[in-house]
Amino acid sequence: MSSCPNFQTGKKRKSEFKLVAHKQLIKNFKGDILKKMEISLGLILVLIILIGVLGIYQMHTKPIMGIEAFESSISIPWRLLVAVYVFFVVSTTGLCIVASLGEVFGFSKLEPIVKEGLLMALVTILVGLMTIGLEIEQVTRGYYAMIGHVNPKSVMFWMIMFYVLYVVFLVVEMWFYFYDDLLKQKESGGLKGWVARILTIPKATDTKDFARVIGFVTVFTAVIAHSNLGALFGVNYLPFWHGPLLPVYFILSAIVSGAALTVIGAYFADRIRGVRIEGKRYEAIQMLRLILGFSIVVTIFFTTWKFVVKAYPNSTLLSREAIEVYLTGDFAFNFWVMEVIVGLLAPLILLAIPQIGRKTEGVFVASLLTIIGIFFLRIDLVMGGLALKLISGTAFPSLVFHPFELVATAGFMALTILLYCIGYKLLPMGVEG
Amino acid sequence: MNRRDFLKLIAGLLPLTAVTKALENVENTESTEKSYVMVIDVNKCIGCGNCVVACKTENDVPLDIPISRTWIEGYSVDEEIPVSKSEVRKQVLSTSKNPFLDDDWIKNSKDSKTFYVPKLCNHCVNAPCVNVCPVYARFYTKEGIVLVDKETCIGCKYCIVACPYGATFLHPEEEVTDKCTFCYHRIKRGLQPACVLACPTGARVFGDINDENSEVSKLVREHRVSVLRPEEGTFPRVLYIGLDSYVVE
Repeated sequence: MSSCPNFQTGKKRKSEFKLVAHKQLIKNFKGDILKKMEISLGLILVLIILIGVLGIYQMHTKPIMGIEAFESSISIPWRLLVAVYVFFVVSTTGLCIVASLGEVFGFSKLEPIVKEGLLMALVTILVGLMTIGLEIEQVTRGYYAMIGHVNPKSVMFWMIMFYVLYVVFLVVEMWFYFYDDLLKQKESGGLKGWVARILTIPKATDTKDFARVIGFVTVFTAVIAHSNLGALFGVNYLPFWHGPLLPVYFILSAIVSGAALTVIGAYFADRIRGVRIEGKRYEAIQMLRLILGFSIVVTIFFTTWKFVVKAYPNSTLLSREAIEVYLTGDFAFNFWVMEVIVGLLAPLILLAIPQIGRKTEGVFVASLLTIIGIFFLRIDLVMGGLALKLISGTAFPSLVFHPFELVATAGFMALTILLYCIGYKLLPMGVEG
Repeated sequence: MNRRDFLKLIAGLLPLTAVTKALENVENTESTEKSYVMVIDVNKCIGCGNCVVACKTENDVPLDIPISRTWIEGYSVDEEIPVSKSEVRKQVLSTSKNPFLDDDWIKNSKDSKTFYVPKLCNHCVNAPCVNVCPVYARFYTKEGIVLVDKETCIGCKYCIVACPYGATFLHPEEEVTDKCTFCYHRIKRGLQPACVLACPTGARVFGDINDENSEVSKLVREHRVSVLRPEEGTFPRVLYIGLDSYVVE
């Protein structure tokens, strides 16, 4: 930011000079405010992350509250953090699929948002893996699952393998995709230039073609990894999960959250930079509106039939009881209000009404609602599926969250936003080139 | 060595390995391994909770937290036919406090069909927990008992999710998963599991099913035994005599 207005216009008419200076001042002022806002946003995020770290620390070492306080956590083995993990990996898969539509599969309308999609995909998978890494009880032994004593019969082992592969492919893809812009960014000063100079030490040509090929491999891995995660739940004989369609459902909901998150990411980025979304970017958002609307419709279809089949009187008693939890039981509010109304119906209506859907803000609000819905959908899927499971003589669990889980979740969310902002600052994200 | 010789060598080696494998199998079947099972007579269980206290004491599971390697489920049923109309009350004994001595339970169960079902890890032959463990922390011993390697367990809790019987749990102090081992440390020394020793009515009988003279073999020969959740195809090593259809898990 230049600090002083341009004084070489002294020969111009006085009023004109005044106007230019005034505009420059406003710009500076706006820049100052933006900078201050950025710093305060960063500080708030760091603060939330620190509190989240304390939450994780408490969950593992329990310095404040003893084990007695965690009795209810014994009865639901997979809790909020697993749901958060699933939420993150669902998001990364969806983001990867949506970005690949633009990058690999020739949906040229989506090209303007590919960069945001890829960056968010990387951030969400990293935070997601971190979540699950910190969720397991023996954090220091986490690497056992990758080397040493692996069990190839376990779906979880394959999940870890595929996601690690996915991260590697995604990073390579991003490097190829950003390479040309990194070369341009080399000249700029400060940290941005440094990052560009370090990242362009290895040389490459035909980067966009490579990016396309590796992008295909990445999205392929993402789909395998994520459907495998669906199988991780589906192979167990828990009535709400069991079945071969859960992996398909996972991919479906991934597309929903991917499209919604891309809209949110693009909208926020442009808002913070103070750019109006128009032209090609607007077209891209409209394309996302279409994808989001369509995938929501398919999800509604899928959810309806899943519930009808599992609640039908000819299903097993256990299956009917499992559905009862959602229709009238502990998870009824989550299901009806957060999942169905907030997550599926409201966004669909917003997207379908032309006066709202054609505005970027409308699509943004719909996406935000969808993401909130999807987040609750994850909680319901993970914890609701386990709600009727009795462990070693404990009572039926009720839906209680520990404050530490909640702050840890907030911490992970804040970390995602912070990493996205940092990535946005350091990488050549600008659409202007 | 040319390619022909090499192929001949390979072709010669294959039958050799097959023969050695076959010999190994013959050896295994000749020296019959022990195969441990537990037979539980539901008719004999009185719901005293001695087994729970004995188990928790023997295996260092906190006494006052309602999780246990073995627990007793009490059912009090006002039976009506068809059974969808019958009222089932269920209580679980998993700490040193016995809920079956509460006034409520005594009053309610007085005129109803009441029975107590001790439960523990079923040591399945096809154990879901062994299948899903990503790090092989769960394994079968040669006697067929399913054990947890607490040095390897990463605490992902997938086994807790996968177990159809809810028999495995997170140990609150060790922060790894834990479950019944049939008191492997005791039976290796020729002792009985703690719960079997503590049972005042002899409702639990433990032994080697391959030994024709053992008490479990006799019980299995003489009674109709059933297992929990047979539809899962887990083939449990815990067999029940006199199980009622109200016991679903």
